Amino acid sequence: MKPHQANRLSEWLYLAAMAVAFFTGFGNMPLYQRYYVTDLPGFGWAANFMINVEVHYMAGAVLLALAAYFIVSWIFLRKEGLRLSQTGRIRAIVLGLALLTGLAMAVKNLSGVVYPLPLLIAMNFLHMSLAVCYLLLALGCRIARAPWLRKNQR
Amino acid sequence: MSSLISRRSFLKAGLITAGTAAAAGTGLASAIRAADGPKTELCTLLDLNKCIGCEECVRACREINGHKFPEPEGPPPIMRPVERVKTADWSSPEKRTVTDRLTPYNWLFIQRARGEYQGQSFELNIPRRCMHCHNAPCSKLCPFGAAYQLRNGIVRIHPDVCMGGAKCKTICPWNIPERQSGVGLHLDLLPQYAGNGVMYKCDRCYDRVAEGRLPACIEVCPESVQEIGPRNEIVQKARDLAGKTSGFIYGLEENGGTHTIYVSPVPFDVLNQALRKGPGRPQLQPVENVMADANRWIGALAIAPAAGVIGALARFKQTAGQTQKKEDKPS
Ligand code: SF4
Ligand code: SF4
Ligand code: SF4
Repeated sequence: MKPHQANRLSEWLYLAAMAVAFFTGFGNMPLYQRYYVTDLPGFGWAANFMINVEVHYMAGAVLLALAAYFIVSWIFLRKEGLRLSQTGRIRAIVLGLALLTGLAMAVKNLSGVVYPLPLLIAMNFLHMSLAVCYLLLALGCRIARAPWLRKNQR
Repeated sequence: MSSLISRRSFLKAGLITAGTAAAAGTGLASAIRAADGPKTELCTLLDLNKCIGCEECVRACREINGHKFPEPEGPPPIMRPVERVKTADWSSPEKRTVTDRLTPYNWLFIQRARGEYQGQSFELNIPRRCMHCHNAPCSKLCPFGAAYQLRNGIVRIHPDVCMGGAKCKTICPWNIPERQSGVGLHLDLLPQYAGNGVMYKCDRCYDRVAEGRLPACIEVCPESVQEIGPRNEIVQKARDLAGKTSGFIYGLEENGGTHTIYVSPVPFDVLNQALRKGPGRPQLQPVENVMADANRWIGALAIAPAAGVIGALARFKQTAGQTQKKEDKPS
């Protein structure tokens, strides 16, 4: 695969996985049935919380793979004089934390794993708010056409 | 040895926590303290042969846990969209007295099963309440962390955190939690547009257990129908009892294992047929592990980063190769 093809594929995967992760993430709350989303053609499955969580995991797995891909890529790109921009750095931190808290929540769902109540509430709250923060940041950066990377000036 | 774990042996089994929970106030603080108990999973065994259906346990549960019941200050708000959201109000004096099903004011009821098995008629009384599943989907998938598990396996819904969306009820194989509208956190947020009260169910008298006391329903039963103890011991007892009485077991494998094991002289499919089922009256069918499919994805989550690293290495090796080739070319 040529580098520009890899770039396009990873960007496409990132957008698709993000859309699915956000849709199923909000779908973890009992809102879609209340607000007619599950009545839309093709969205009936979103009423099923168990399917919803599995699809959320799938999107999470793609995002984790992409995160690892971009971290390694960033190490290589640093050598070529590319650096994360200011907004890129903020986005990377928020997304990284959202993914890590998501992973912690998936571990919590395993049989026999019990988080104490304060940690459980904190994880739910953090995962949700970090994801929403990232959504707003990502949309803002897209509108402002703020890039992830910048050339090292020195 | 008596098959009932007496209060003394219950204490001796080391299942007491410091007993500070009750003393240290209400709400989140006491819940957290209770959650710090020893990680010995408690399980109950119910010998259906013994239950006479006197409902002493039901009365005791209501009395002892009455202070945990919802007290709405007025009628529930009108929920939007009206045609889509049903409110559930059990707070009227008449509805509070209902004892023949689960409600926010009745966490335990006696389900009667009458029928015939192997040419003989039977009549059994089945105390029904939350099963306190080992891998409880209600707690695992509560989006707010309101439904949570204590280290001793008790599954509880925290009334100060619950939004009343009833996801726990939807994903519970027995649809146990019951909603009371017009109470809870959501009234302080967007009362008409998000949430719908608080979900209630048996909390296995977690506060009494934290003090080393028996759940009320177990303590008052004149027939010693229930006993409680560490899960491995109770499982063994359930197997022994079923072996001795040619009985049948329910709750051991259901939903991947629960902390409530019934032993009955009549098979559970026969009992299930004989039950009056419906809202607030759970079934007794075999239940697959609800969380099993979702938890299979943990493997994908674990290997995903490795796949990403390999992809990036492959890509940059290729780019490096191409750059190298370009550099090697004589200009
Ligand atoms: S469990 Fe005990 S107290 Fe409850 S109905 Fe049966 S015999 Fe009575
Ligand atoms: S029986 Fe239902 S409410 Fe009780 S722990 Fe299991 S899933 Fe939760
Ligand atoms: S364990 Fe406690 S809360 Fe649960 S049914 Fe028995 S008395 Fe009620």
